Amino acid sequence: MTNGLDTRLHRYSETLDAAISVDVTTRSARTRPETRVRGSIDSQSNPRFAHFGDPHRALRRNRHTAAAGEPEVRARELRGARTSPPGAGRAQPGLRGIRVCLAVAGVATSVGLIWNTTRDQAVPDRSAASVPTTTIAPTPIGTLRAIDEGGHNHLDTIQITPRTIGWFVAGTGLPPDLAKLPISYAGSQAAVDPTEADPLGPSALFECASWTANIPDDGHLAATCSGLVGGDLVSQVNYGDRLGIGVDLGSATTAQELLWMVADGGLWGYERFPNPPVPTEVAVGDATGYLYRNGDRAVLAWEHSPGVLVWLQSTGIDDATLATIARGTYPAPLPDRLALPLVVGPAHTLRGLGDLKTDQLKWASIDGHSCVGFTVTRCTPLDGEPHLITEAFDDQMLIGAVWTAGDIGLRVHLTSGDIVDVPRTFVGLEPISETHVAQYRSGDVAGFELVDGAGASIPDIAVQSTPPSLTTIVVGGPLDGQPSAERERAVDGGGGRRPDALRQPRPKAS
Amino acid sequence: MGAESGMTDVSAFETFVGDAEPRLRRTLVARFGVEVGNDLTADVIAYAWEHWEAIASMANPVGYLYRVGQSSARRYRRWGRRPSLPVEESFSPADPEPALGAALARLRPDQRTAVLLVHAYGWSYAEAAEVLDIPITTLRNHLHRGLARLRQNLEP
Repeated sequence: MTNGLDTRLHRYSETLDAAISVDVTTRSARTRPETRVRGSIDSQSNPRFAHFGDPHRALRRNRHTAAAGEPEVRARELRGARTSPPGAGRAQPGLRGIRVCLAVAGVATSVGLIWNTTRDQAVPDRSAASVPTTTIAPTPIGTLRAIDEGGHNHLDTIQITPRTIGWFVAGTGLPPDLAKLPISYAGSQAAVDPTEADPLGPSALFECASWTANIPDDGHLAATCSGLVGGDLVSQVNYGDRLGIGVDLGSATTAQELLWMVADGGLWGYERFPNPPVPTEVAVGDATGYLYRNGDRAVLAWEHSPGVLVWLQSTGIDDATLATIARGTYPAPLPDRLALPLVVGPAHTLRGLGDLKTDQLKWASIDGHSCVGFTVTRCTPLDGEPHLITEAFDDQMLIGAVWTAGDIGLRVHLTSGDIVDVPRTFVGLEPISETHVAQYRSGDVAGFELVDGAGASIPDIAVQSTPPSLTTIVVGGPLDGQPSAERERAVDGGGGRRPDALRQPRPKAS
Repeated sequence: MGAESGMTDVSAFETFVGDAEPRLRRTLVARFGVEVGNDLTADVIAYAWEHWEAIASMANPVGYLYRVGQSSARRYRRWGRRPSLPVEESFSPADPEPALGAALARLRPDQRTAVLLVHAYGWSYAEAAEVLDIPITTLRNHLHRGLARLRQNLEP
C-alpha cells in the first residue's frame, strides 16, 4: 500500500479512538430510557467496571456460574425492571434456555403478526407495554432437508414457518449489462459464478437468526429456524456495485420506514435529514413502491406481501428501469437441501454453517438420533455412555470427550512426559453434560484417557477413531432402505479426511 | 471458602477484561461503527461475566466474544445503514480531505475490520487473526481486497 494511505489510516486510528472515547463519555452522562437487567456487578455500583463503557448495561451472572457470596439476582424484581424488548433477552444454558428462546421467538412472531394487521390503523408503539402476552405458535408450512458435509441428506428436516425464510432474485427485467455482473452477497465472502444461475447456491448464504430446538422424550431433535437471513447478517444480494436487492422477512416495518432506513444510510450517507423527503410512488405489480433518488443513486422499496419487504438500491439506473427490475424481482424457490449441522458451543448456541470450526464438536441428529463428532459423517451416537472421539488431519490430532452425566475428565499423556488435564469446553446442553476438546501434533500424543472425579482412569471406554458405520449410528434401522453409493463411501472411506472439509458442496439447482 | 473463590473469580475476570476489552472495543467499532461497537462491547463483557466459567477455559476467549458480538449485532442492525465512523480529521490545511471515514464505511465489514486493525492500529496479522478468530490466510484476503477497494473508494 502507499505510504500516503498508510499514514492516513494510522492517523485515522487516533480519530477513531477519540470518537470512541467521546461516545463512551456521552452515553455515560445520559440516562437511557431502557433499564437493562441489573445484577450484582455493574459499572455504576462498582467503579472497577466503569471502563466497560455503558453504565446502564449491567453485568448479570449466570445462576449456574455465580460465585459464592454474590448477591442473588431476584428474578421477579428483574422482570419488573425490564423494559427492553423481549427479543433482547439472552438465552441461558441448557434446554430450559432453548425453550425460553422458543417462547421469546413465539412472542416476537405474534408481535409481528399483530403489528402487521394493525399498523394501518394506528402508529405502532414499540414499547414493551404494547407487547401482547399471548403467544401465537408459528405453523410450519414446509420443511428443508438438511445435508451433511458429505452431501448426504439423511439429517433431520428443518421446519419452515411462514414469512421467515426465503430469498428474492431479480429474475427478469435486469438490463443485459447487469445480468452479466457477478453476484455477491453483502457481508459474506461468497461470490457466485453467474453462469451457474443459482443465487441460492452456497448454503452458507443462509444464516439462521434464531434457532429453536426441542428434544422430546423420544430423543428426536427438532430444530426450527426462524428469521433466516442471507449471508453475514445482511439479506442483500449485489449485482456488482450498481444494484443491490435486499429483503426483510417477517418484518413489522412499513415500506416507508424501511425505505428511509435504507436511504438514510445508503443514499445520503452522513448527510442526515431530520425528516425523510417525500418519496415518489412507483407501481410494482399490485404493490405501491416508494422511491428516493439522490442524483445517480436511488432506493426503491415496496411490500411484496404482508410482512415481506423488498428494496432495490441502485447506482446509475433510471427510474423506469428500476421499476422494471422491481416487477421482475420475485421470491426464489427454496433450496431443497440445506446443510445445517449444529455446533456444540459453550453457550449452547446452535449456529449455522458460518460458525463451524474444525476443532469444535458438532452435535447433529441423524434420522432422529442425536450424535456428536468433529464431522457429522463421523458422528458418534449419544447412548448415555462417555465417549472418546478422535480425528486426525495432516499432522494434527483432535481429541474430544463427551458424556451425558457424571464428573469425568479428559487426560492426555504427551510424549514429553507431561500429563495434561484438558479443561472442559462446554457444559449443559441436554443430553450432553460436558465436552472436552484438545488439539495436539499427532507425534506429541502418547495416549489419552477418561478419568473420574478422583482422577482415576475409567477403563473400557471405546475410542471412536474410525468412521463409524452409519447403520450403527442409526439405531432405529436403515436410513431409507438401500444405502446410496455416496453414503457407502462415507461409511467405508474418508480416513484422515480433513475436518475442515466442512465447507459445503453447493447444491445444484434442480 | 466460597467468598474467596468468588473474589478470585472476580479478580481473574477483571484481569481478563483489562486485556481483552480494548481489543474487543476497537474490533467491534471497526466492524459495526462507533455507537453500535461500543454497545456491543458492553454486551460481550456482560456476556463474558455471565458465562465466565466457560469463557475462562477457552483457548481464544477474545475471539469467541467477538463472535458473540457479531451475533448480538443483529439487534442493532438497520437496513442498508452504514456504520457510523468518524470523519477523518484534516491533517493538512491544504488537504482537508474528509473522505476516509466514508470510504471505510463502504467497505465490506470483514475487510474494513481487517484494514483498520492492521493498517490503522498497527496490529500484527497474528493479533488481528486471533481477535477475529479467523486464519491468517483469511485475514490476508480481507486485507488485500479491502485495501484495493479502499483505494477505489478514495478515487475522485
